Amino acid sequence: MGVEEEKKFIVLKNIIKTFGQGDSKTIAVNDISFAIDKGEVVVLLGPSGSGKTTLLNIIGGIEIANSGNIKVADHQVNNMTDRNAVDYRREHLGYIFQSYNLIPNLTVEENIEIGAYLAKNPLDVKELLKDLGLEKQANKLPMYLSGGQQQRTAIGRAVAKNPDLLLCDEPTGALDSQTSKEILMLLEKINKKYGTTILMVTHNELISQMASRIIRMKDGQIIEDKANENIVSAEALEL
Amino acid sequence: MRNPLYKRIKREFKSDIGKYIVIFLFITIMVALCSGYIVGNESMSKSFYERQEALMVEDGHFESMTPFSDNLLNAAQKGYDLKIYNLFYKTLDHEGHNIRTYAIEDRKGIINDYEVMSGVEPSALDEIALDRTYCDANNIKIGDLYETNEGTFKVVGIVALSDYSALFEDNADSMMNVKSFSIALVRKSAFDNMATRPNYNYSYKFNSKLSDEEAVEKGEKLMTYLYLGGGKSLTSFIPYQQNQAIQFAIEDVENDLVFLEIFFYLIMIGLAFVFAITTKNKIEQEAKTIGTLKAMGYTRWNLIGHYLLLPSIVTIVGAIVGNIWGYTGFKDFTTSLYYRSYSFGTFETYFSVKAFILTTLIPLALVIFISFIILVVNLNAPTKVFLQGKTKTKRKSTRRPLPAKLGMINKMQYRVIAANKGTYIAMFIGLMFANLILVFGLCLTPMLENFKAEIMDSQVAPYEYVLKENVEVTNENAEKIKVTSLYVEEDTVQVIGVEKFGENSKFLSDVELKKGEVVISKDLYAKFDIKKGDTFKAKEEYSDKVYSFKVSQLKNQAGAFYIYMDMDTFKEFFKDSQSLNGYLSSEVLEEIPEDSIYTLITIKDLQAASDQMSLSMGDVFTLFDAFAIILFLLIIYLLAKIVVEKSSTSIAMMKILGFNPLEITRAYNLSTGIVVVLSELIAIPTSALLLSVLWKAIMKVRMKGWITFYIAPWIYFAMFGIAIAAFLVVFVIEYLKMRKIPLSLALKRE
Repeated sequence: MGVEEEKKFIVLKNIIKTFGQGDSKTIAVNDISFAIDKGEVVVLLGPSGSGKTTLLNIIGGIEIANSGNIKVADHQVNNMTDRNAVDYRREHLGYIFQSYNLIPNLTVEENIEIGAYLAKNPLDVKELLKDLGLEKQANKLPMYLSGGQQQRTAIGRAVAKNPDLLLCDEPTGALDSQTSKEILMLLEKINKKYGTTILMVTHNELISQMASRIIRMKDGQIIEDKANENIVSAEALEL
Repeated sequence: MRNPLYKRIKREFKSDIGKYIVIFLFITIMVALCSGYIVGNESMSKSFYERQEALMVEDGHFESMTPFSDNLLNAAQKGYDLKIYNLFYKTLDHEGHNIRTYAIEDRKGIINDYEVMSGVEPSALDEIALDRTYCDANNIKIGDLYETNEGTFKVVGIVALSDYSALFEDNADSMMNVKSFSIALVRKSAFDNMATRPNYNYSYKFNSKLSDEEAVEKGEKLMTYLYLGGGKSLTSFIPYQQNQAIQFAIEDVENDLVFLEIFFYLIMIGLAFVFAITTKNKIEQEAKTIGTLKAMGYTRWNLIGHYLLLPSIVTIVGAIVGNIWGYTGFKDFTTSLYYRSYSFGTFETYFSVKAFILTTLIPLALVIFISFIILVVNLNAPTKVFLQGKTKTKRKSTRRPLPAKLGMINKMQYRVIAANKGTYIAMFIGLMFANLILVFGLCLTPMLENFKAEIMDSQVAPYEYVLKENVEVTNENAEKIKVTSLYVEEDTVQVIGVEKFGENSKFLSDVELKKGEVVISKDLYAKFDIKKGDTFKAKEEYSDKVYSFKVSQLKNQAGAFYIYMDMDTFKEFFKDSQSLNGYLSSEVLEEIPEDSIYTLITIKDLQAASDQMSLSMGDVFTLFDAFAIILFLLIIYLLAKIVVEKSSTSIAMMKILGFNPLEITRAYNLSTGIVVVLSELIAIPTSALLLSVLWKAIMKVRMKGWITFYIAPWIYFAMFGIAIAAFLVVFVIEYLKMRKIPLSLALKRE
């Protein structure tokens, strides 16, 4: 690893991930390498089956790559023990999913609290509720919220622990355009306010316009990796 | 076309195999145990009565100091339409054991026949056959040499006599004695060669079938005839109905069935709750699938049929396997418990309709009924609600905020418990029944110990004599009594007339008697709710004569039912011919000839009675304990499993968020632990209270006699410990399963 790469926040080198065996073997991620600086907003763009979510999960330590190296902050992600994996996720990661994955028996406030509980320097939950526009919903259970409110809660949970890296897997995939825009504005705000690195998976070309860098994927490979010269603010996106 | 949903059944079974295996095992063990017990019990009972018939058991017997003349016996046979058989015996001595020895030829094919359980019947002069229970208790085997005062015999056979299913040496004994009393069979020639004086025992059998009352009444008339005609040499008379050596064992077998049925009903209710909660959980888990199917046009009844199928199949298979196991393995286990105490002959296994209904039809009907009700109620919501993943239309959308000072994990525990309250309520009810069974199993041995202590404490005098005839005693330490027995409902009550009481008596200083009034022992007032000042009725067994007694005092005496009255009152109520004389004494009364003693009760006898009771029932209690522990494990496992499974996506998400396994297990598994602890704190005293009510009800309605309900304090701690141990086992299993929940589960998009 070169000196330049060592300074990078995320470094992926020759990552390969396959599923299945024999005739049913599928190469989901095929020899991918790239690096990301701290504070960047990067979009992994590609159609379904291009391997973007698998790549995101490898970075998040949810999937293990068959080969290659991944370094995030000081962690060698691909060779972690269970204990190290817990520490890694606890200290550095915030995760946002398309399907929200809120804890159904906890209220909105408590769902955000479980994020805050894990951090040494968490954000103030009440303030976050205010920022997220969820003050009135604080004591509601997730199933009684709209999709946008649920996703805002999930963002609150991810951000509450003040992570270095926010991994977003199609965060607006289940939302209408107006709500999607609100969520993206929120992510943009978080990036600016806390300097959080954001790695977002999407198949929506329009969303990628808000990123500082766009990595295009197809069939498990990167087909384009370039800085976005014309960043559009989330508010101005025409979704 | 066949309902295509049925194709899911196999897959559903595979995907939830753990749950179904646990339920299957539970049903199988329960059915095996209960059907084995009932079949064994009923087969023994049926075989017993058939054997009584086949082996020509007597209608009664009597004994005389001298042999009766043939003329007298012939006249009696004619006059009373019966046949009298000589069944003389000689009592041999073997290391202090009394061995009541009969000649084979007097019995075989004639009266009170026997079965050779192992070995052969004696054929030579020096050969002997002994009772099986006595041999077991004294480790005597075929081929052993058996020394007696009449020489050494070789044990060639182990036998069961049809008139000695319980080894009562004396019919007045409160408990049999397998340790130092046995019956024996030798050849007639060997019997005649013995120098020991014979006991002139005669058995009789009526020529026609009589009712119990008629048989006893006719027997009593026969005795009067023989007593007067035989120069008053008659010393004892025991009709079949009152012969403990015949009746005791079978009554015990029949009484045990009462306990088993109660135990079984408790298990069934526990099982019903398990099914109710697993069915409800299934619907909640599959809400979206149900919504989709309903949207496609499947009716509620299609779905009910579908969701009923698997529990029904599991129950039917469990019941079939359980019955096979019950009829083969468990039956032998349960009957072996009786063979240990009683000298039953061989028995044939009969198909039991009762066992089939109780262990197969009822569980099946119960499972189907409970599941059906739960399905009908829970499949009632509109399709839209199911499509949203819910099963209820209306629910409270907000929750009260929890105190800020409560830690996050504590908040989660609280929310997990609140979200699973239905499951936990079922767990509480299930644990309640498990506790009830456990306390039942655990408390019986200490209860008998307590009963034993109570009996010992209650003995009025160190030596209590009841005499066959009046013997005047000059010993100042003896107090004269008169004794007779009556019946209060189905229970025998000893009625005692005393000359001395209060400060004049050494033994009855706590009794103050007024003329015309009586003092009753505490078990009598406990069982029949008789209070001070009440008047209660008692009757003679084989006549309609009823006596009324007014209670002036309650005496703290356990073990049997007693009515005390002063001698004048006693004489007013009963004629001399209706009662026996006796003495209470602090020492052995040498003045009373051995032959005049009807019975002598000492502390030792009472101790032996309780010990025998513990011995004969000990294994049954252990079985109850084992079953309760299985039930604890099953209920906690099934319900903890439901909680974890319902939360598996959340658990996966928590892992992704960075929670470590310990924190996750504290949030989810420890919630179950909290509920187990809280449930136990409520269920232990409640189940004890429930059992005391149940116990008293059984004692009053189904059992003769009275055993005071008692729970030793250590039992409460043991119950708590067992529940916690069961939880810890489940905790470890669920912890390991929780660790295996893949993170990718949270990534599945619905």
